Amino acid sequence: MSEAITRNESATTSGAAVTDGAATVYSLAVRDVHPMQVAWTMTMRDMRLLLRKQLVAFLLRVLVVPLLLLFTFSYVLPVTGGSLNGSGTSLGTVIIPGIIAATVVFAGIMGVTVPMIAQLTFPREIDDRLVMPIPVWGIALQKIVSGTIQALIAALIVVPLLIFVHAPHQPPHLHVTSWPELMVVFFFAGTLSAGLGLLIGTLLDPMRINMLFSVIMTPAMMLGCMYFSWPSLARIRWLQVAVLFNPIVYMSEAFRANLTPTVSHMDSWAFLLALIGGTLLTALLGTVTFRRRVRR
Amino acid sequence: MTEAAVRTEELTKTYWPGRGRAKEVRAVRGIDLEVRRGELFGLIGANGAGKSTMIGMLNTLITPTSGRAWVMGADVAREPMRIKRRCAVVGQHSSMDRELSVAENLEFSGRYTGLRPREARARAAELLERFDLTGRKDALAMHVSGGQLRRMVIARALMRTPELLFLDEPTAGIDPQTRITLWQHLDRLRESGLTMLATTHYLEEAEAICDRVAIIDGGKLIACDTVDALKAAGNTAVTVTFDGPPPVLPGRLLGRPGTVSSQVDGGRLRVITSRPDGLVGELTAAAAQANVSVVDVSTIQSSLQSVYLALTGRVYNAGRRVEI
Repeated sequence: MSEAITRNESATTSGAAVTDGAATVYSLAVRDVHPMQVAWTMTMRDMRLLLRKQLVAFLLRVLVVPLLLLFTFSYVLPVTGGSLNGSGTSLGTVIIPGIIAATVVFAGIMGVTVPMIAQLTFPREIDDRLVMPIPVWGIALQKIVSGTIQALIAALIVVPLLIFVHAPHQPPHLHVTSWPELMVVFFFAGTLSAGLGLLIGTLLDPMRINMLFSVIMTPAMMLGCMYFSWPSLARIRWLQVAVLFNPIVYMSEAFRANLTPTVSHMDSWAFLLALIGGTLLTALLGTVTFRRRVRR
Repeated sequence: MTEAAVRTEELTKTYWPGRGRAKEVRAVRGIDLEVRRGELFGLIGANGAGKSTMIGMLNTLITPTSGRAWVMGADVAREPMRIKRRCAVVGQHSSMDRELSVAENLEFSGRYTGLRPREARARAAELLERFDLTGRKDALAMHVSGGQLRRMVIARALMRTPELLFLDEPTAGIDPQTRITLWQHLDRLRESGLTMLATTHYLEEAEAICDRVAIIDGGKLIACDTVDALKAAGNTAVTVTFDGPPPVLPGRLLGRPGTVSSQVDGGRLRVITSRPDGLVGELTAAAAQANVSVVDVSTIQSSLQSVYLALTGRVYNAGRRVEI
């Protein structure tokens, strides 16, 4: 038995030595491990899986859609004479906040929903987590943390590319108005996306996962104020009101307000309220649906 | 008096209709059970008998409908965290982190319970060695064989330094040789003082490794004792072959205390009895008087198989119940 293990026994609450013949094989000591430590280890496990085993798949998942959007709207359309709003603002400038929002929401939702569905189906890998010394709601929240980290990593990878991929002589005009607010927006866009991922993953029938793309993700992206700003929808009033139920709208507008302030955008109080409130709501609902889903 | 490792009172689980169930299923019906510390206790029964539901309620994965249960002194309904800290579970389906290596699976399991990375690596190396997995430590869990996987999940559970180990069908679906190897591992753990509660539908497994067993049928506990005690309450089949007609008429043997049945087939006399002592001697003496020789004697001791048959009225066949 290693010295390290013996030393750690001092941090135990009770226990008895287990012997195998003459030698002590291992200790029956009960470790008073804090649930936060379990959650931290679960997050480390998720990151190891992501960065060591699934890195290529993650990069493809994160990069393909934003790069295609950027290539089309920031390079092809400007070069071929296409126009978005006739205001003189470059297409790249208008669309970049939306692409960042799409990247964050896509990574956050996929980072939680897909593993969740896999863990809930046979052979119910989730049972492994449920017997760990952490409350059930703690496991749900850990999944939101893990999804948030994935969303932020995705943003870190994509944002630099957005600055460099553009049509000749038409760079996007990005200007950070408030770094603290931008960090808050990034954080809560990530948490809201992961919360949505938890909610979708616990509500969606695993046999209907294809609906995630066709019925949820694609409409949400198309109507998520990625290609146009929310104020510009004033001319279609019913749509301007309807899209307020789409969380991606608030993310796009939040990035627009903080990165391309010259483009019309939603007021800060509105998107911050929606991002923070949405995070709390999805975390609460997701935890309830998670508990209901794993309970037998 | 030492507190029991597991105690249940009228523990019941009913699955209500929904989630693919057309009607309610009463999986466990008011079971009272006590598992002592340090023993390897077996829950045996056919598929669907309620074993896994029972073990699931005890390890907090399944919520009981009614009744109470205590595991290591902690109430399963009110103190699940205490149970999670003190117990480890080997599930029926070997769920694991498929994309992590065998060693990584063990290391993370240890870190979930508070081991530092270096400690977890040391403990993992020790357990990999003990479970003959060192050669496969870098293989992804999804690439190892069924037997190696079962050894891995047991080793992984032991990373958690449990006081009680739940094993749900630990040898299901693996080849006989690997099963025997696993029995040896479990036997060593039992000798080391670890309390284990295992479900199995292999009766020979229960006979080979369990200190005590409980037979569950239709969600009810129908017997609970040591294997020897249960077998002692069962019947023994004695078959004596003569070189002529049997010297004793079957009808006469029915008057002998303990005789359940008696039948003649040519020169062969077969007696089922709960009191086989002295029977062969009596038959040999009767044969000598009738100038008949005894050619062969065979005795089939009572087994869990016969006990199961006597208690449930069903033949037990690799986990499937066959009505007779």
